[in-house]
Amino acid sequence: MTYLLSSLSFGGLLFLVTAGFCLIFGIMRVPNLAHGGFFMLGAYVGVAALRAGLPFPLAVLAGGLATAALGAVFEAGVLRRIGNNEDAQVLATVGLALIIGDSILTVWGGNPLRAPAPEALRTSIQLAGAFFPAYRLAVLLVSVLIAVLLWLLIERTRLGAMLRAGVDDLKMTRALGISVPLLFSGTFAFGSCLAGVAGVLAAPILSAYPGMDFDMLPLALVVVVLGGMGSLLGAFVGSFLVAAVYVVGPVLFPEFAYVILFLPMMIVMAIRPQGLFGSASH
Amino acid sequence: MLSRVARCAGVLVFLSGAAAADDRPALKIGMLTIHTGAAAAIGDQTENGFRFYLEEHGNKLGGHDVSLKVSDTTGTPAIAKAKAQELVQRERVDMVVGPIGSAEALAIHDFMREAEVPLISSSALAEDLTQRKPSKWFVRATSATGQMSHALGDYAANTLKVRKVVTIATDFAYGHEIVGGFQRVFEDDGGLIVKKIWVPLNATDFSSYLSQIGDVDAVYASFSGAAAQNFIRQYAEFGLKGRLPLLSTHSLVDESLLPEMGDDALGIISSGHYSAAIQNPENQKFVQGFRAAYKVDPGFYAAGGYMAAMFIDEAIKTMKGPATDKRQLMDALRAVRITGSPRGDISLDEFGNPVCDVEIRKVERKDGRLQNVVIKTYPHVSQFWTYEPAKVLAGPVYSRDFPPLRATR
Amino acid sequence: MTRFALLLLVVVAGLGVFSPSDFYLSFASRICIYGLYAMSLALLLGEAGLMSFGHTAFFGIAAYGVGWLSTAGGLDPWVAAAAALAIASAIGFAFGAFAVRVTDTAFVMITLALGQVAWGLAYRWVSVTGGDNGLTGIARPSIGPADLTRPLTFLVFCGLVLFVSVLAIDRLRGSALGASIRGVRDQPRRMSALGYNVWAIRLATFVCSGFFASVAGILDCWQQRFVSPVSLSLLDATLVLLMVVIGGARSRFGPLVGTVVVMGFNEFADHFVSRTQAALGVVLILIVIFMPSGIAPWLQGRMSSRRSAGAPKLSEVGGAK
Repeated sequence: MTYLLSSLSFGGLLFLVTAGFCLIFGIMRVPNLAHGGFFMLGAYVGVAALRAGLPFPLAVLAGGLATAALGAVFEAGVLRRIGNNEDAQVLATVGLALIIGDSILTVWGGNPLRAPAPEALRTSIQLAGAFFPAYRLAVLLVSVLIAVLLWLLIERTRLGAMLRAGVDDLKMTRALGISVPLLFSGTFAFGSCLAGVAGVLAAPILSAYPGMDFDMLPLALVVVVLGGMGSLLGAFVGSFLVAAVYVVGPVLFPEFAYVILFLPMMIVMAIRPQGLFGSASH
Repeated sequence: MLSRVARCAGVLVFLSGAAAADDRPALKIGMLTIHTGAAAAIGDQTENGFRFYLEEHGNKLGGHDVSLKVSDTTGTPAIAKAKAQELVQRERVDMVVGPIGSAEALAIHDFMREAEVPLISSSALAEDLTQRKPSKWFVRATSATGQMSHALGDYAANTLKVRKVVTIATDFAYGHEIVGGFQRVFEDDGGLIVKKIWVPLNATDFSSYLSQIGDVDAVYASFSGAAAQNFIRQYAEFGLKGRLPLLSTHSLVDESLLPEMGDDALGIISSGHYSAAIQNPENQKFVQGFRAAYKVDPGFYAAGGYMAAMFIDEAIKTMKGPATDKRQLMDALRAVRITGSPRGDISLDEFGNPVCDVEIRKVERKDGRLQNVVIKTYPHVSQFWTYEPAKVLAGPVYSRDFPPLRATR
Repeated sequence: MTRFALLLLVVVAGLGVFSPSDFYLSFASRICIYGLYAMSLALLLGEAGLMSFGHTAFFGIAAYGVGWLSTAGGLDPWVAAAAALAIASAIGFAFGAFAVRVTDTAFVMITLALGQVAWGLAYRWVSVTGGDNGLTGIARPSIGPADLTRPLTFLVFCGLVLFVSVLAIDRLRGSALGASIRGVRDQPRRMSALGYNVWAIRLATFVCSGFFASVAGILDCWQQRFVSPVSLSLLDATLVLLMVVIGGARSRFGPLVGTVVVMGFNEFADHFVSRTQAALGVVLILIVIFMPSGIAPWLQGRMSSRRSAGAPKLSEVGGAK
């Protein structure tokens, strides 16, 4: 039972982290290697907000706003100048990740910081004989909620239609008169915001510590690849699949603990390179 | 940050010392530490501990002014080697202190021996550095890994009268060695390790491992840094705290982590060669001073830095020739005997490893903060426990599968 | 090419004569080794357009191969090196056959997976690799009377290997195969229609590239005299990629320039700045903004525009990379 709950709650968390990356990659075709950095920044800002006495929801907001702002600035100042140059995108996002990581180390020091969960959720619940922390279940609920909201946004609103158009065919989108620069800025800021929010929500579970950016990033990459680049549904399903493998895998196959994620990924890549839900055009 | 203030203070002290005419040559000491990445905190602590000793002693060791050259290895063995080379060949230091990680120490071990420059380890615990791969040019101011966990194995079997234990540790050399040490003594004294659970390096979620803990009397855990914090919290969240006693290594409850842990950490019994709560006058002075400067109790790494400086100081004091004579310095370092230090009395065995006190500590709230209160002290513990050194060396180093579980023998 | 040979000669000779300590000699050796590593990756990235995060696997397998075979395996270092090269190449061939069926992001992810699997193996297979402690005590071989244990001799050796490899890569790029590699990068469908076996061409590039990375791995093992799983990490993979991209993936000697810049920075930056990682990040972003094709093309651009100061300015190669 614990395995099920752990997989689900970790999957929810993973989805929150991955959703932003997926959006940015799907629309802008930029692999944002600084995404883990935004996640970490969100966590630290959230911890700082909590220590300043802000209630939890405001701390989440603070984290999301901080990362959205940084994302917008970076996109406008750097990414826009390099356009489609993929190599340059790698350089730029890695550079940003390094700056974020080192800055956090300078400001907050190297010791892991504890983030207390909201008062009401600080207990553990007994479910079918297994003890499980209430906060993690709450995170699972929040991530499902956000998934639903995102789906509504993308499938049912005009903004969503523009985003979907951007994913499918950028040239046509431009031809339709939609401002692509604005679309890009908005997407990058929004994706970064999601990462920051995920960071604050994750902080009570993972603590805020230096290195959490590069611990999370490979997982997000695996999810996006498995699920299909640019497909939010793929990210959703992929998150839970990867979480299940990550949680249960090392128990069933301790010898393969380090490679447990990558072997299935390689197999999926070989059979269906566009991922489970990706479209063949990617 | 206060450490930066302290660093500036150290530089000022050094400069003022250099201004005064001194006939003894200044000592160039190279320090390999970590300032970037996940281990930056322990790198800073080690450096702070070392500098604190320098400040206490007017920036002199053995009467010589000290010029400290700090290099950031980022925790990578290859960079540690490059920086060690830089310190030895380019900066021409008289000795090197550090590095932080065991893998780094092993990587530079041969080089330092060939370069014939003294290497003083402030925290690298890898057993083989003073067992199967000894070097004349190496001395430890800390201890060997198993040296600390042997004692807890004894304590668990004979004092706590615990019979069945599950071990859960990070899956790398340090984890293997510390669990191996605990297991050897615990099982030889009649205990039974039911299962050894190994957790991959970057794991953040321990729920699936915690649910593998079956019917046992206690759990022995080894984690550090953020993993330690998360493990302790999850141990409580998943209902194990209070139900199952938690025994651990020093790293799980290091003084630098305790302030962030809250009540979840109460009651954890660990073993180590240092605790900020050791009740002797030297330690109390050290802890008070360190707290005043850095706002936190000194832990394993800070004490490691401090003791390394003390080792060098005491060694030079016994030398007749100049401290810049590396060969004589190394002989002096190997012959160091320390009485009255924060860790008590220390002498060195023939391999360059300290014979020292090992404390069993329990996390309690005292003076308004969490401390590792000492509940038992094992005096004069060597890296071989009560075993015959030759017998220990004839066998392999502790690893994932060694010693083999008693149940399978 | 002759200018490059002369440059190498001057640098090595100069270091041999003027270097105040062995430190600079080993540093130069490491630059040769990583330079070769970067050139190998550039062959794949620049020429074939395939970005690989898994080249660390070649580097690491070869390094561990020669390390283990010459210590526990008891083989002569040269034999061990040859065997390690063979093993790494075989694995590269097998893996490449499967990996080059996809491109772009899928290829990045598959190679990332390869790199991570190799890394995990290095950590787990403790009986062979020594786990996170790695393999130590590895001896350097000798070539007849020349003992490679001496830093200068080893530097000369590395320089020679680098030169020969760069020559080989250069010849490859200039050959018909090289042209077809670039063709496959730019117009895979057209090349396929013209009858070229796209898969085979990509596989050949992958294997060649892996070969040179393996050579670099062997040299690194001898240089450090230990092997650590950190050289298989994602961090290292990113670092080498940075060297290639900073220098200019498509330029002839760009990766070498990138190697000098990155390694020089890593080695000496801490003398000037306290936060070296952030500084590196800033440098990367500045390069991206001002020299988007890499340092070498930018330098070439400056030099040629200075030469043709009077001529009408042609726009630099913009647009599609």
